[in-house]
Amino acid sequence: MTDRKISAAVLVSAGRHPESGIARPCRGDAVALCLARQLVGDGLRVVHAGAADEPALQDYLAFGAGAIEVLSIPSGADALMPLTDLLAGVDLIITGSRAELGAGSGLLPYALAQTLGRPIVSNVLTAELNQGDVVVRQFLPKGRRRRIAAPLPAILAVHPLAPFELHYAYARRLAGRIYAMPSDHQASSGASPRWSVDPVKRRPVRLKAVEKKSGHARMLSATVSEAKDGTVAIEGSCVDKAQVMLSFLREHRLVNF
Amino acid sequence: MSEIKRIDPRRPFRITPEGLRRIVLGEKGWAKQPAASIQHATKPKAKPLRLAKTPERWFIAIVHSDRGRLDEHARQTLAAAAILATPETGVMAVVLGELCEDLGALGADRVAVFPDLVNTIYQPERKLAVVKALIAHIGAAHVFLPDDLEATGDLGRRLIAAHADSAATHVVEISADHVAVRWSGGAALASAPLPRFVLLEAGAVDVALPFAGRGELLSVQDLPEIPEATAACRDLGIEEQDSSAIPLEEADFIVAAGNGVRNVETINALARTLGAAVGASRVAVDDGRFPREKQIGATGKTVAASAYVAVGISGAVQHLQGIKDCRYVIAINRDVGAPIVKRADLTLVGDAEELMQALLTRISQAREQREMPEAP
Repeated sequence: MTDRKISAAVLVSAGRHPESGIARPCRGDAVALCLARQLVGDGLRVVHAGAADEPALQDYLAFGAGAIEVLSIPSGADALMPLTDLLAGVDLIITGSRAELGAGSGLLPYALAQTLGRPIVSNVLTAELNQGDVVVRQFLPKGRRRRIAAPLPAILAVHPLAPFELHYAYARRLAGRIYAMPSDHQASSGASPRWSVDPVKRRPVRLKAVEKKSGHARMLSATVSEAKDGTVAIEGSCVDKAQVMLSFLREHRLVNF
Repeated sequence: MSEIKRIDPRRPFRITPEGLRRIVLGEKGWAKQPAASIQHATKPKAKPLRLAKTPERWFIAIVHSDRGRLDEHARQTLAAAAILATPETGVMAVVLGELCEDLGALGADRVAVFPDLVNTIYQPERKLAVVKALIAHIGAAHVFLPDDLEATGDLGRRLIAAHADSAATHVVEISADHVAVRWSGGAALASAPLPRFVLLEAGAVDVALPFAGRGELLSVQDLPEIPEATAACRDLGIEEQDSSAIPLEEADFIVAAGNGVRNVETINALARTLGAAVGASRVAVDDGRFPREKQIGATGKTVAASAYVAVGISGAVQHLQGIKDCRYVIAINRDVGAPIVKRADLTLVGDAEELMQALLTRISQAREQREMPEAP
């Protein structure tokens, strides 16, 4: 650990239940808050860009946020520029991986990293400070994990499956404070398209190639299932068949011996 | 005797070159067609090329390869680019990692392979530099990437942040003029015009294509100069977990036992030797030979392993449902007519116990041979 105290900020967003639309804390952000609290303790800044009377903020206080700084921006406005100004001097910015409200593109930490010129590590499971670096464990599929050392200042996007338990305390919710800060930014970046929400609930349509086929060909493709041309080893002894399987595993690089 | 005119169901017919059965009026007698001509008619023909002339503009699909091949999600992304491309648009596939399959069949007209940008090393800055240089060189109209939780989704977001151009992520629906994403966690869909950068969710595209791409492999001279990129972070290596320790849904190699396996010890030993997780079919679990959390299938777990070895499993529909996302299925079965044989890429026919013993011997021998040169 370096002598200098590390300044850290965690970004929290307002969550919504996908079916009922009831306000709730975004789980990914709550997990990010837990990771940040474990990493830097009490000096943590908790920042929300949006409305100060957002009901979900109370739950973040209950999860241990202490005090939340709210950048007042109109709903739907781009939070990137006001956040960039606010967080320029912060060593470690910690976010969730995607918001629950709106498109949830997961682009904000990357856009922040680009404008602030800092390294970003995504899918973070756990993190610890080590001699001016932050050493993180990154989630990879198939049970693999990667360890990365990122120099400070840095941005971490926390994976929603990060191993933290959320502890809700009503006393902390009562003791916590929310500070509203005005923001005068109006401009929006070009990266986010204009979304129009469909009024009717429907399933997404799969993109399919248009194919001009005769009725007979369509009938064939519907009735004849495409059988795989798998190899069948019938002849030979057990030892030969074991060799066939080993060769198959080696050919498709499924084993490393 | 009724006077209704009967139609002979086996009346004479001719098979046209398209494989259609046509009745020949006025001919008498029974239809006798050589079986070969029918088979010939249903044989799949080579797909036509999509591009007729030199393309004026390009779509780029950026994917990572896994063991020299593209996974289903990467194939869908490439197919999306090929389907959306107009006749004067070419499709370029950028493959990060080594490649040993032909991408022409998947719709790519040009293929750029970067074998050193593998997924096992953390190098997002280098990948970003390479991809940015390529996009600028080609002047890509649209860029497609699979939106996974691994390196490709990360690379796509870095790319979007670096370009500050129109972009959409987590795209679940795509067409030539629009994309749609799930709004506020899935309650509704929201649409926007097709942006320049598209990060596609899995399952948004059907990979079946009626055409093929040219599949030209680009050599090093055709590629633009790649600027140097300094890595900001240090990679401290990947922690590999033992396959048997991780949940079945996440395991990459699974050995599963069915009713044909009587000796649980052998299957556990085989799984240990291969470094695989152990699964079981419903029958084996119901018999009490395996715990319930090992069950694979409709009422158990759905697995997505790269390699799935089914020992003594006949392959009921419910079981095949559970393994539909597995890439390579190897069946060990006594019955060559079992349904699993149709699904399997390789089938070893014989007694499960004998074959497992032979495999144990052969694989431990192969492991030792591999380990020998490294030992002092």
